[in-house]
Formats: sequence, C-alpha cells, structure tokens
Amino acid sequence: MTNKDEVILAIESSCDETAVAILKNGTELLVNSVNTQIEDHKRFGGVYPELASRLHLQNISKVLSYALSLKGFDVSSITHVAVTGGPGLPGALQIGAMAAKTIASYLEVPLLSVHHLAGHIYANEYVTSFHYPLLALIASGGNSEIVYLPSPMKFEIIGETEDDAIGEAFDKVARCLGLPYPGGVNLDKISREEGIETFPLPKPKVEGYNLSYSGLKSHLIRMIEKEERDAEGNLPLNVVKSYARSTEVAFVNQLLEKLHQAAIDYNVKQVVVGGGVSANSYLRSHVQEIFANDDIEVIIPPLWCTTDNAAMIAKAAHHMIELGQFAPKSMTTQPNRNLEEE
Amino acid sequence: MKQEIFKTESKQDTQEVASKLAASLHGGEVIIATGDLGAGKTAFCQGLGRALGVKGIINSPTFNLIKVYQGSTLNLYHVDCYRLENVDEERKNLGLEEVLGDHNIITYVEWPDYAPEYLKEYHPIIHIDIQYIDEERREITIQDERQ
Repeated sequence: MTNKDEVILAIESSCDETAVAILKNGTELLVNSVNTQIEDHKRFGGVYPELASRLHLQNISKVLSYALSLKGFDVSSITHVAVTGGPGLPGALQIGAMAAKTIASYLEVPLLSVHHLAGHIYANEYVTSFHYPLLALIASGGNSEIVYLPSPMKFEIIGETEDDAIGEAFDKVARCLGLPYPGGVNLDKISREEGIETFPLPKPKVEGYNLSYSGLKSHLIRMIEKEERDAEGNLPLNVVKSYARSTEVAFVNQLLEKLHQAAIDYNVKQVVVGGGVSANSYLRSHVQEIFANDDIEVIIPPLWCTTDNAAMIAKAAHHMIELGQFAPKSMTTQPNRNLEEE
Repeated sequence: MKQEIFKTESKQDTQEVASKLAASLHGGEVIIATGDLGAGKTAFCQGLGRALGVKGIINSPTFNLIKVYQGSTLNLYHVDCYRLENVDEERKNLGLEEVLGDHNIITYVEWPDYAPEYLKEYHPIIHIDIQYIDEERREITIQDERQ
C-alpha cells in the first residue's frame, strides 16, 4: 500500500450485529466481518438492548482481531477510523464507539461518526455509483422512511410512517398467523410460491409521502381472529399462505406507490433501497417493475447489505472524508440521531 | 379512584379523549395502556403527545422499546413492553426507575403486563383500557388513581 491510499477501518454495533470492515480507496473492500446475535435474541421476539450490549462487549475483540489479522495487512496503514454514532441502542453504540476512539487515538488518525441510516443508503454504492438527486427508501423493523438526497450526504426525510414501521407490522401479523420469529422473514418465505390466492385489503389514506401500517395491521388481526382453526388451534397452511401473500402485497405496494410518486415529483436520477425489509422478495421483484417506464435507475442492495454491517459504514465514511466531516475524539454516541441534521 | 368510560366513533374521537386527559397532567404521571394489538394504544398516545405540544410524528416504539418526545413543558416517554413477554425479570432493565414520577416527565406504557415489577407496582397510575368495538369505534375506560 502506498502512502496515498485511504484505508478506513469501520465499526458497527448499533443493534444486534458486531461488525468490522476495512475499505481501501473507497471501493476495495478488504474485510467485511459480521458477528450476528440473532440466535441469542430469538426468545425475546426481537433485539433485547441489555443483552445486545453484553454480546457486543464479548464479540468486539473477536471481530476486530479477525479483521486486523488479514494477511499482509499492516495496522499502521489505517488512515481513518469510522464508527456508527447513532441512531441505535444506547449501550450497544457505546461499545463500538469506545473501540473506535481507542484505535483512532492509538494510531493518531481522524475519526468519523457515521449515521446508521446513511450507511444503509450508501450500502447501495457497492452496486453502482450514486447520481444526484437521488431518492432512498429505508424499510426495516424500526424504520419506514423516504429520504431525498440532493447531493452527497445531504438528507431530507420527505415521508415516514405515522404509526408502525413496515417490518414491525410484518412481525406482528406473522405472530398472529403463528409464524416463528423473525416473523417478517418467515412470512416472506412461505409466500414465495406461485399461485397463492390473495385477497384485497383496504388502502390507508395517508397524506403526502407518509406511510401507515397500524390500520392495516389491526384489520388483518381482526380477520385472522375470525378464521377457523383446527383442534390444536392452528390455522390451515393454505389460509396462512394466503394471509402472508396478501399482507406482503398490501404492505409493499403502499411503500412502492409512495416511492414512485416521490421519485417522479422530485425528478430524481436514481432510487435506492435499504434496511432489513429490502431483503423482502416481493419488494425486490416489484420495485424494478413499478419504475419500468421511467428514466430512473433503481438500485437494490446485495442481500449481504440488507442486514447491518460495517462495510456500509465505511462507504458512507468515505464520502464524509471527501466532505471533511470529521468527529472530535471526544465524540459521544447519539441514540436518537436525526438524519436531517447530518 | 375515579373511573370514566368513553365511547368513541373514530381515531380523532379517541385522540380527543386523550387530549382532555393531557389537560389534567402536571408532570410525573404514569399512564398504563391496555388493549389488544391494534386497539389504538399508540393512537391514544399520539393524541396525548399532540396535546402536550410534541411536534412531529409519534410512531410505534415496539422496536426501540422506548421513544422520548419533547413537549412544550413536559417530556413524554412512550414505552412499549410488547417484546418483553417471557423475558427474565433481571433482563428487563429499561432504566425507567429514575424516570417514573419525575416531574418533567409523563410516562406512557403499552403492554404493562410484561413490564418490569417496579413499574407494575408503581402507584398512583392512570389506567387506560381500549376495547375494540368495530373498525372505527372503541370503548375507552380511564381509571385515575390520582383522585
């Protein structure tokens, strides 16, 4: 490596993945190491904060030493350290931030504090470079947002959920259908086959580009409660599949219709998708379809980028370096960090 | 204890009941909200928050467990214990001990049955129970231990 190389060491620990990545010159991903806690959180039906912090503390050294043991890699070649500074679980964020600050201080290199959702958006740059203005859809267990980017690292939230996040509503409907955690993922799995019968669901009336899933969720739950069950209290599999597919179609279509309208109104060059729900198979297949007749490029992230990782944090950090957005060594984490204040 | 029952015809109606309750809050109150999934517990909190002067959207705290909003004079802590079902007591560390009863804070707790013991044992509380009648209509029972 030459002296001119930019080498970013990035750490992500905002939720249930402890992750470290090394990105060279903004494009060459040398390492992308992720340690997930999904199995540990299963019995809580979601990520449990206190447990998450302890597991991060336990795993961070392991993930870091794995990343830094890369063959022929010289730790002193690191030019920047980046870390997810929020939003996220307070205790979990602190573990990553502490590690990042320690390394940056030791190596005497600049530190960058990256917004977690900026990471999810910029993950798409592992597919292709961004052209602005651009529209990003972030859909996950905790987020459902439509974000306008007029230029690099500038974010304007133009639409968001007025009640439940899409991933959360998926999980709750899945639970009523008797599907195991993670509900949204299992709901998607059983609804993929051809020929599942769907039924229409009411369309929520929401202003502008905002979204709403609570009304649909309640409506579905009432319907499911009225369905006939067998002696063990289970719903017939074909009924579950029909609900799963209909839910997926109604939830995702609401998202895509708003996204499409916003993309036209804001006259964007590209649309990118990020967050856990961007792994949803119906969303992935239909987002291209809805933009088929528009001169707008649609980018969907590779599946490895739909879950939390540090490669996306490194990618966003690369742009922050270009813009000179460094964090002081005294940086603190911001569990409720606002994307619009970046 | 004072008990009042309201029959509401729409979400707006429900939020109107919430805003009337908000007018009686001085800070430090703990409100617990019960009712099935989709009954309108978060909708009630939205009405409460708006009346307290919270700007912007109040949406579901299920994923985060707690969301904090700034009102004009009081802060609103919106807590959701939905995900704490079957969680061991010592793991239910939400850090709420210091928050309950704080005179600058209104605490609103959904799914209190799964809440940590100290919250279940807290008094006085205001208990909101929301029962589903049909798609639009709800029956709201408010039990207020303050009076």
